[in-house]
Amino acid sequence: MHPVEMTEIAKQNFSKVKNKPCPSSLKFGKAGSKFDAPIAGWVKYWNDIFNPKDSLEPNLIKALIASESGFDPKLLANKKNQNSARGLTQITNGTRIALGDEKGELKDHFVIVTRNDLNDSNVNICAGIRWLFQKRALASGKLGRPANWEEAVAEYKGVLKDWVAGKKRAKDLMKRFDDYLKELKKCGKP
Amino acid sequence: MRKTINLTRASLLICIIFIGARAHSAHLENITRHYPHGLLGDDFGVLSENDLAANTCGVDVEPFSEKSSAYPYWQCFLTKDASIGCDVTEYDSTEKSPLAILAVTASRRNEEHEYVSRRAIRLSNCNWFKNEWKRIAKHEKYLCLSGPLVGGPELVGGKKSTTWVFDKFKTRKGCVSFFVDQCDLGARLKDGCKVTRSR
Repeated sequence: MHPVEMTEIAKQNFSKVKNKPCPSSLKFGKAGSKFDAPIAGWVKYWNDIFNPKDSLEPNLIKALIASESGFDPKLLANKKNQNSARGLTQITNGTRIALGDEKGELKDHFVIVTRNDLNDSNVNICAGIRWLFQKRALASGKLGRPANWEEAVAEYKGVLKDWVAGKKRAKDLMKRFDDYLKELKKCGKP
Repeated sequence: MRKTINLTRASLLICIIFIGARAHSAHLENITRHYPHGLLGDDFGVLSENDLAANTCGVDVEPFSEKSSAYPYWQCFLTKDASIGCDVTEYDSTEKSPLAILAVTASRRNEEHEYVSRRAIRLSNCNWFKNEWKRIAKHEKYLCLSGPLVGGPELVGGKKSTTWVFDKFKTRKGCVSFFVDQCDLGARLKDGCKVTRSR
């Protein structure tokens, strides 16, 4: 899939998607709920493609974005390093290449984007979710059993082993994501 | 005669200390006038109003509490009481590199503070931050850290321990941030984060 197709898919389908994340801004001002429609749209798209037993929830992606970039689509982790993570879901250049490499680790459903494409929030969310599905498969391989979505996020953040082992820093790193997810699941309820 | 000289010296010293303290208190008042919640404690002259203004971009500003989450606060420490490290997690085949959690620890009195990166990053990238730390912290008495709250404070071994997200560190020599341009106050403030009126 290329960015032109991603734009077209979003334009034609995403306004109709019903299962949106909780509209809470998570204290990130207006930006906190600005991407709810593409989050819902791409979660539905990739759930329909991969049809997992336990569907990916839009709230989980919103919590992931909050913890990675605080909903700032322009963020770049290191200008001097061309491999730097980019945008809402902080996709690295290594990940970008893997997502589009037909001879690489992905078997199907490639996402072919340039570094600059990742500055587009719609493209970035699409690529980030595709990568999370891949990370879930990788986490399952590492754990020797089907990984759940939280374990997929730990793998996405590069701390699966330490987090499963209960190491403090990995737990601290994951805590912010966990707290956001809890907040979104409550969705305003006390 | 000697007694008079000593008395004059002592008076002069007291005057200098008094003027210095007043200047510092005026500086603190100036930088926090529009951003009263962005600095926890003293800045020891390291921060400017713009540093506090930049942290208000894209977040709800709120006084610090255990429920704070998005708003990054500044805190300053004696440089000798702060350190930076890379906690290696695992090798990542996509990145073709070991990954590490960037962790900054700082303490004062009965408090321990730890700032951790948002995700594990390439070890080489983490080492770059360590080198930047050495560069800007060398011969600097004070160092300031910025980031939103992760959790705490909670009592650990008799000390109050608090965890934060690592966003940036600053001395009078320079500023280094996890994300590009987060220390570039011009770029940040262009987005309209600075207030000229009272909040």
